[in-house]
Amino acid sequence: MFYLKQRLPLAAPARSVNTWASYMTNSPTLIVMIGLPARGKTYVSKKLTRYLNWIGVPTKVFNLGVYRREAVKSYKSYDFFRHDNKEAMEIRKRCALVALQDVKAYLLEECGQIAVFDATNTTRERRDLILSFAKENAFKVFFVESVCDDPEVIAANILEVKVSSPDYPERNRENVMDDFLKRIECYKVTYQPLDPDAYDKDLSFIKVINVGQRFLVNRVQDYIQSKIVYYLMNIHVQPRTIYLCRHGESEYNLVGKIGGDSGLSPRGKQFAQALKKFIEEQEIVDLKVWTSQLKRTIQTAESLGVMYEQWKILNEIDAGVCEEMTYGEIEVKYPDEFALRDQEKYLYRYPGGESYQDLVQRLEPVIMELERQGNVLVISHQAVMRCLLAYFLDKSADELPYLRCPLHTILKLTPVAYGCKVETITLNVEAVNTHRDKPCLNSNTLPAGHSPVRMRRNSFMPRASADTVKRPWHYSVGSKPLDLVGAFPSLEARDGADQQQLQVEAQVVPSLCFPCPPSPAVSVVLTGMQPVPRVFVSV
Amino acid sequence: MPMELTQSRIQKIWLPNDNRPALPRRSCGPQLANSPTVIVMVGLPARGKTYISKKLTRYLNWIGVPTKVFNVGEYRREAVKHYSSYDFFRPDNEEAMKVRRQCALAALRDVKLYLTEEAGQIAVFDATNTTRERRGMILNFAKENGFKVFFIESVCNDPTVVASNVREVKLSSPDYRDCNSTDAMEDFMKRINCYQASYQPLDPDDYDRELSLIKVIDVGRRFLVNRVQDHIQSRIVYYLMNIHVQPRTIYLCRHGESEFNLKGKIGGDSGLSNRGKKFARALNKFVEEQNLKDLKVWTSQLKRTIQTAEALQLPYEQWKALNEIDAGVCEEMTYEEIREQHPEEFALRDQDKYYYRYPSGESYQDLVQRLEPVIMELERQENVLVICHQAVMRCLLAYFLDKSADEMPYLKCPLHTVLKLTPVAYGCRVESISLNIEAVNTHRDRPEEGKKGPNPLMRRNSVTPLASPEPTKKPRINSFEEHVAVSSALPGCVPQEVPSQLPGQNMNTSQKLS
Repeated sequence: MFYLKQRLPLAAPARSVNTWASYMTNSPTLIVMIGLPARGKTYVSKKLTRYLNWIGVPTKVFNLGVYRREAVKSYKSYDFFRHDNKEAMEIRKRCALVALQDVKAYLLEECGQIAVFDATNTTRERRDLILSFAKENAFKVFFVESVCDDPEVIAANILEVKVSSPDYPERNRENVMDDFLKRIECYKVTYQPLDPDAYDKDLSFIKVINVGQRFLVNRVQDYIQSKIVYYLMNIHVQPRTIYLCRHGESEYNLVGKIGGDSGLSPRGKQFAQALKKFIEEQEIVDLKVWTSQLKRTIQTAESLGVMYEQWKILNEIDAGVCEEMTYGEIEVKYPDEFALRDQEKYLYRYPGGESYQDLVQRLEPVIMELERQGNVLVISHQAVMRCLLAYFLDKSADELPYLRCPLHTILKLTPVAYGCKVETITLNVEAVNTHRDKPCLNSNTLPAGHSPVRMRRNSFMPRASADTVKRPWHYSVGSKPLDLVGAFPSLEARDGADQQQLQVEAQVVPSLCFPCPPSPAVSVVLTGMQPVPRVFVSV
Repeated sequence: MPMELTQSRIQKIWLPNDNRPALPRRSCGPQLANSPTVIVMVGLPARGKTYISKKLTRYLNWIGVPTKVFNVGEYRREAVKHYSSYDFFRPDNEEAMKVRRQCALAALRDVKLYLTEEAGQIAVFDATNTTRERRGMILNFAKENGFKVFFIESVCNDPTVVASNVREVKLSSPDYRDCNSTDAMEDFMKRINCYQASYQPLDPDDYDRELSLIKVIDVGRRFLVNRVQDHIQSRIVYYLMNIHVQPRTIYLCRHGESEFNLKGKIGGDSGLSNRGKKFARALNKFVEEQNLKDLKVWTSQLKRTIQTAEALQLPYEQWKALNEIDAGVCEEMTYEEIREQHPEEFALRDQDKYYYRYPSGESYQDLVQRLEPVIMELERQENVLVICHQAVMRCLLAYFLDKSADEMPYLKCPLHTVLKLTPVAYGCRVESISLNIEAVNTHRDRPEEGKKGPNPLMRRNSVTPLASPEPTKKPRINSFEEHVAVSSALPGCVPQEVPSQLPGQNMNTSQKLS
């Protein structure tokens, strides 16, 4: 195969020829969150989804709160969540059923591999309902329960993310706190935690206790569950900052050559000095510095006068036969390769070298270790930095190879609520531009007979986490359900020319996509798994 | 500002020219272990503690963290030559209790020596450690020496699992040398009962909530993990969660003979020779005869392994991580050509083959790091056939057979030969099956002058497999019959005073026990 430089038998049999990531994806999995409100379920859901998409497993969050807010436009008070509020209970159950319906569509029709069902799911009755739903559809189920008794942690969580919830428009802090705590109490009445000793002993699950201080893991079934457990055990919520930058301008940068192992240009050395000054000014506690094993990152780190660690896996993408060539030279000497790379830059593997896809796989341990660490400065390379950045900013495989990571510029990443704040700091040392925009393409620039092969399933391809469905399947009588495809960074939808000009400058990834759609429809039909009576909700 | 760098010749690592008092620089990524760690096993007898200890030690050594098991049972057997019965383990046998405590102290002394003077990073303290008192003592010992502590408790209440474990490893123990198996079984069960009375499991809710620990419940069905402190503990937890004890077989082989093999060229991406294709068919027959349930087949992404797998008529998976070592500038050359064109490189590789990195290529050390996910996934799987390459197969084999970095690059992995690995008790049985298809020999023996001990440098913090060191055979404890320090017989182990801080270090236990 042309892009992947992967060997496929000529007479393609129905036999499965899988790449590495196929392990992750043998049968679709439903991850079911469990826990009282303000236990970080949404945080875990979103973060895990971002990670899974980055490693190439199509994953999507289904947040029940979003469905509920869609069904019930204006939230009044915790009264809605009282367990004896029959009418509200009915609505909430129907919302769950609708969400499950969407889960089913995602996993069966939209090539999803993992659906994260983000709701409290605090009762056995609800979980049994989910389990039988999963059984009917042959989905694996993995529960993630977040248990936290520390009132301070809970209060902090409420302040950070709940106060800004669309449920509380007027933002009166004390009222919010008060109402929300009462809301939690409503759930406490009926909360049945997972019971690993008896009732739930045959389920696959992880209990995350007090924000990762302790974990209980039961019956991990497969590779992806084991990967999820490992990830959850490595993430933490301590405030910290990650700095990403490239080496200073190199001699090869000056002459436009890619790859190689050249040293810094005079301006590159100037950048190294400026970086030292910048780091000192930031006054960072316990800053770890990581470099690749290439001369240019090490020279950059050397000038900082602090300890650093060299990682071979941070080395720049291996351009194989194109190493040490300029783009012009590649175009002349390997015109086909050059065209192919433009066609499908994420999947394209240099002959005898690597693809961005390979790079993501190689960088996975770096991401895992970054999650474990506190403050870190990573001095790496353009392609490497793009892959790392795509993880933090939840960018798709499509966008990833075109992210702007200029020389002599530092990206400062700070975790906020459910996302990551990015500041771009230019150190004002001139450098060449190494960015190549995505060229205008039309598919007939491809060598004849090679249509782009889509390896969506079983591939190691980051996707941006699909947003929570903005408009769930609540549709008025007679109208059709909304097409939900738009949420995908779909490769299929990308034929022909669509240039993406990505701006990474001082961008704040929206902390939460609480959609507040201006939908006037108060009359809602909820579709469930079973025939559901038509419900008219008036609030 | 020092910007001038020199590249080390063997490992191709850039280092600053000036020899400033070195800031620690590591070549292989994350800090595996910054301060030495004592892993303390906890559990009743026959709960697989020794199995976990040995297996974990093998893994840690393979990824390059120097690790050693200290099995207190061996110290005890050394101290008390003749085991008579479970009586020895009765909680009211005060004399024996004293002896057992002495053994634990002696083992801890060796732990200290290993971690502070012998460049060890992790010591696995393999004993029951079922009481809070004993664990408290170990914690004190670790605190005084600045060691981190991580507890691994194995809890298993399934009598069939326990019984099969006793049958498999305990009945062959030196304790029951002159004993029929029924009696041995009965005695061992009584021995377990002796511990049961005083067993205080780790209590993560209250008493032990500050400790870093993992409870492995019912042979990996459930895990409880508390306060993981660092990278290496997190790796250990991940590993323990992935291993299983189901019987299974792993088959390792190389691709069939390739066109490049015929010409003596290394690397590249050539197809199979005629004999190579013959091998692929023979492999097909072999696999069919083995009659395996659910065999998974893995290949690299190079043509020669895929062609080999195609002949099997089975689904298979391609791993880029299984690709042959990248010979960089030497790819597609014969050894002769390398010797001519890069004479210096050629000599350097012979000097230290494990660390040697081809210019813009890889070293065996790099390969081990790249193969770690493969090993982790092999641990998770059941029957697997891995069709790979010479250097890759050597690295995988070194993991299963616990070979050191020194031996690894010279392990014999000929073409057209299948190695069948079956886990048995604490180790791995290897059968070598030649499929009787001729092939060229691609093995280069270690040059004579290169036959030296492993490079003493770079042992710490490097991805350098070490064979798990043998547990100290002759612990430094006085034999109770002779009351003589046997420790002086141990090479490199100077008899030491019992650390004064340890309580109950009275060595004057000369009473006869048997």
